Amino acid sequence: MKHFIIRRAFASVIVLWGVSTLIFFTVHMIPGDPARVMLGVRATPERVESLRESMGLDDPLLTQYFRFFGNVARGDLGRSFRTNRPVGHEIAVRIGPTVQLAFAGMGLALIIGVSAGVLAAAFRDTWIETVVMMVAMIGISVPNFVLGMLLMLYFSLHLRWLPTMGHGTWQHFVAPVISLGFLYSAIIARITRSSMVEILGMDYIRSARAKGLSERVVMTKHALKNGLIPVVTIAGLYLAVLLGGTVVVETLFSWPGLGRLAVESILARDYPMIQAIILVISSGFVLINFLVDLSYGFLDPRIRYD
Amino acid sequence: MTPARPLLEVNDLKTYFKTDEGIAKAVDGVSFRLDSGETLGVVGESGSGKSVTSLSIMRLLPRSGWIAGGEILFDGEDLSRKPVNEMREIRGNDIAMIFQEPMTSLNPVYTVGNQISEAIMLHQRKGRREAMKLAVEMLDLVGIPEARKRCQSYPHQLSGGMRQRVMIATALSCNPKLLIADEPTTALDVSIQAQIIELMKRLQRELGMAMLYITHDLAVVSSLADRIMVMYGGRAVEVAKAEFLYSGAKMPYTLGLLRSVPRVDQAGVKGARLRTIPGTVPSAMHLPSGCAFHPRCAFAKEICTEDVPRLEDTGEGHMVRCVRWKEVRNESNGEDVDVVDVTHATNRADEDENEPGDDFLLRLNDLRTHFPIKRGLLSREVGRIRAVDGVSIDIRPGEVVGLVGESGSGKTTTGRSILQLVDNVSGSIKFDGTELNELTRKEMRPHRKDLQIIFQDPFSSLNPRMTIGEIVGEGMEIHRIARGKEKKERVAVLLERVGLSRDHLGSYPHEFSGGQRQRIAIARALAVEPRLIVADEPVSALDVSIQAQIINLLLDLKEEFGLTLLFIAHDLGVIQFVSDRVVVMYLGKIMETAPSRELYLRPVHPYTESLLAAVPTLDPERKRNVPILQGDIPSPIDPPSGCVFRTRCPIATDRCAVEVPALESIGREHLKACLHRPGS
Amino acid sequence: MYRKQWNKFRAKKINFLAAGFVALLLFTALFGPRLAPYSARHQVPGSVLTSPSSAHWFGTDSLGRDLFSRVIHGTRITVIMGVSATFIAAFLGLVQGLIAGYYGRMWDTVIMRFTDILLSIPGILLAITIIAVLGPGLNNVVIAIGIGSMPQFTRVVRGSVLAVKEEDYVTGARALGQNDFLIIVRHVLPNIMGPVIVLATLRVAAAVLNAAALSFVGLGAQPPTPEWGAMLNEARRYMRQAWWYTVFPGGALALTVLSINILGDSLRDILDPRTYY
Repeated sequence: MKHFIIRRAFASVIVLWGVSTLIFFTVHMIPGDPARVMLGVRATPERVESLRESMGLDDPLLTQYFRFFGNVARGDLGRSFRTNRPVGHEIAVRIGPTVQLAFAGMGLALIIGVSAGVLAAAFRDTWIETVVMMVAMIGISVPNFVLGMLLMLYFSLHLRWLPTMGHGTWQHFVAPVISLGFLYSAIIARITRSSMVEILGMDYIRSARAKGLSERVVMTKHALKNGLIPVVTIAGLYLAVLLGGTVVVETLFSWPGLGRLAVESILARDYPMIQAIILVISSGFVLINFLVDLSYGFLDPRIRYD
Repeated sequence: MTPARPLLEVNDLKTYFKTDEGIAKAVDGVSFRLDSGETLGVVGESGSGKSVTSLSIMRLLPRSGWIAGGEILFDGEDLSRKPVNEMREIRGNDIAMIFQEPMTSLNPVYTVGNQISEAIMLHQRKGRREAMKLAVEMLDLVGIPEARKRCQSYPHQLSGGMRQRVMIATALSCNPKLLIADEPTTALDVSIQAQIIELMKRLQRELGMAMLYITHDLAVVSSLADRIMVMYGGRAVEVAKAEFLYSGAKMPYTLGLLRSVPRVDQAGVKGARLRTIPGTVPSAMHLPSGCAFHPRCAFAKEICTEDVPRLEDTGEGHMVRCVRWKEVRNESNGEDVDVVDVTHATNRADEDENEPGDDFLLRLNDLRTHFPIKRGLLSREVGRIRAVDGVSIDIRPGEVVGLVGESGSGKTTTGRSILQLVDNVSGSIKFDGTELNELTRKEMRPHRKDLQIIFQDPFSSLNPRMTIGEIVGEGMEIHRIARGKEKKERVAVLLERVGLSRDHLGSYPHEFSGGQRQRIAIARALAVEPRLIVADEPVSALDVSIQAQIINLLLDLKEEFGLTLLFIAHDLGVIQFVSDRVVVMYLGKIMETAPSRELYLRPVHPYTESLLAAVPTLDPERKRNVPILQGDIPSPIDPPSGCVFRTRCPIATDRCAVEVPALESIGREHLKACLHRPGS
Repeated sequence: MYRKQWNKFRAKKINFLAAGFVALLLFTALFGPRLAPYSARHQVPGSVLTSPSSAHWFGTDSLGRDLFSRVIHGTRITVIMGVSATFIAAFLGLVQGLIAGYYGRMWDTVIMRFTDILLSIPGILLAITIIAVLGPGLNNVVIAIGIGSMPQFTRVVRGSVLAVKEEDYVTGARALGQNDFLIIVRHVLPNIMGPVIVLATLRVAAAVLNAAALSFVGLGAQPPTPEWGAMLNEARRYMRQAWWYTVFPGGALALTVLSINILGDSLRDILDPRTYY
């Protein structure tokens, strides 16, 4: 297990390095002169040149690359073109609401998704399975912003039960969390079902039944723990996706999170900000994946004793 | 003294399955009885309905199956109509079951102790601690060393044999009255199979439960069962006391089955062929009318195609489902004798008066194939699998050399190394004077025409997206042997030669049965006119009656085309039947090699000896008095020092741990690698 | 030969509905612009934000354009975007996955590390980054989404290649002396197409969804393009007055994704019953 953790940690660091390198070079591929973008079209060439120099843009790319890593290591993610303030500060403010939204959405999705999936597997070939899978199919197909808009139309504008936008009270959470949670409940329900169906066909389930165990024990003790392994992977994966993927829902509900910041920054060509946001979210992704890998160790002794 | 009421009485059981193509009658009217303490062996090929019968008794049928009729009386109660919750009180308690696949039959995420104690806690209403104590006792009983420690182990930490012992311990933990064993040793190596059979015999003696033992291997049940029931096409076709069946089988199917098994005492008999049952095993979807066996039966008459024959008592409880059993007995008289009288037969090698020549087609010298085990991002090599570890074999043109060994012996890797199909091969492979191991991939290509391979799994060996014509013709195209019309004609001729029809040219592999696919694979190999064919377990995935057909075909083709064969198998009976010379491998090394008959009559190496003893034989008199091998086969990642066999060898000494025995000649073409035998 | 597959498809009535809708979609994409009552940009005088009526089945938008016509014109954009983005992804993924899976070693390490890195940037964020480089617009959205779903194809293709490579018929072809190119073309490719087709179908649905999402946040199609996501973005400002502005483009989008997904699901049941993603 110790070797496993070290190996996974090492792999995570490598991926993180790869991501930041990729982002660094991608952002430097963006056409146009960042200094020009910052200062606007009317700035004199001299001012642009002096800014270029102070930003180190005239240095060779490799020098800039190593400087970027040095800065990142010191926690300095650069300054926003738009506000000229350290991007770290802005991100620190915006990350809270996004994390709240992501965790609330995933929490809801796990509760509903796993129970619906288990239910569908347990009642295979009955109307229960048909209904659950149909709803799940709709869930993965209705875009979350369309669902969000429909919720807004009905609950906020027609019934006036919920606020249309913003962030603050628990009522503000309802519509965005449902918009996100429905999709991921559906994904998790589908994965849970197919995983459980596969596990229920295993030889050791037949052994368990041959012992005379009740269907409930077979389901909860023998099938669920094995069946959850792919669910944990997917849930981890999508939690990470949610960290960056709330973009659309945040835009719709004017949620003051990272996703909206990312869109605003792209429209304003605020590259240091984009670079930092992607870096932060990818780090979150890598960290979550690492934790998911560790959780395998607890679920699956084959990995624990590797 | 049979008690008035049998423990289990199955009457006219019918179990059907719903499939995409309609209803499959997997079990179609099976009746039998089993008394307390008795063992009934159920024997049949694939699709005979033997496993489905056992699953019906347990009411553990897959979702698509159901009991369509009949009754299953257990202790007088009909299990087929019992509510599921009452059935649960019987499962694991009064009737327990063990399955074929020990590797997958235990839940990977719980400890062994947890899984054994589960049933004890449920049925005997014991607390966790007491149940655990009982679990340890059970593990002890089934011969698992350090039982207390093993209780904390997870299944993946145990070998296949050990897992099957755990399954047995679980099954017996609640003292069942009936134990159903569904092919419990099929997935295991011969030496491990012998251990498990020995264990089950002992346990049945000690605990006195009744046993229903299901297998495809007549020889396995011969030593275990009191009575044997032979199944075919979802019905019982013959039931008899074990000792009667071998000498006095009456149903043509049983007779055919008994004769199609290669017998060890036929080893090295020149020109011998197996008796075969023609045709293929029918599927439950399309059972022939009347007697299901009639299309393959040499004795079939008009009447056999009409009504399903009754299971008729022919005296002393010997029941036969054949309307013509009396005639069969007369007609088949005398046919039981094989082509050659074995006791006076000459050894194939003995026939040449002169010393065998030094003209070799293939010479392997110190062949080693070590697969590196790589770990981590930097792919560091952390160990090696010594799959083949210093093998030297010389093969003459026209010879059939058998390569036999259990799992981990490196027999398959040896075959693939010769054909340059694996990397990391060192040592010398001289084929007709050319050193194959020094050729680049490209240089090797023209030589591939001369060396071909036939695989074990007939379902994986043919590309499902290509027609039979394309599959067989591919090699002709590559080596520019023939193209266009000529190619097509040649392929058609080949197909006919291997027992298929030229109409099959445009068919796809999924339209064929396992045995037919193996014929196609043989045709593909022959298409490039090879000189040497490596046959890698070509019959072990096939039903017994089909096995014999393929073995005969290979031997015929060998004669006809003047081929040289390297025949790889785990089945010593098959190997000795087909080969002129046998090479016995263990953990990547050669233990002994000798002419087939010599090896059977005068085995020298302790491993060969116990392997011969471990092979289940049909003839109870032929039992050898050699102790069965204990323990598990070590891993080829970390083989024992000195002689690799010493950890399981009955005569090992301290010297064996330090000295690697060389392969020494002890007679004509007889070599052995043992420090102690023969008694010098 | 395909009777078994057909029986499986036939078993669920919803498959016919979904297939019918997809057929309608393709028909609309091909001929819709000619059949639509109005052009996408035609502003009907005096009918700004009118509710659905016999003259305007889906109502009109804030500039008095016929929403029914705009939804029909949008179909072609949606179909082209979904299919071409997936085509890019499938092609690149197929090449990468084949190389990584078949040749292994260094190729495998390099390609799969690269894939891992791409996968650790959430898809939509990766698309946004690529749009940041290329600039907003329809074509760039297609490229961005294509590259965004490429790693999934790489993974599936590589996994299938590794499985097929172990099959004896591939070893058999090597034993016959067949060259690598023909082994890949004849033996490997045909046997991995099942999972690839299934994934492609499901990714078309995802691509349609993501393209609409990008347009919705303003990074994709720009007004006055009659793209469904962009239309929904415009609709946001008039939600209080005009429910139809949201409901019809949104409904078209949801039904499109739904029917492609249903079709993909049944294709998977038929072609590739063992995997789930």
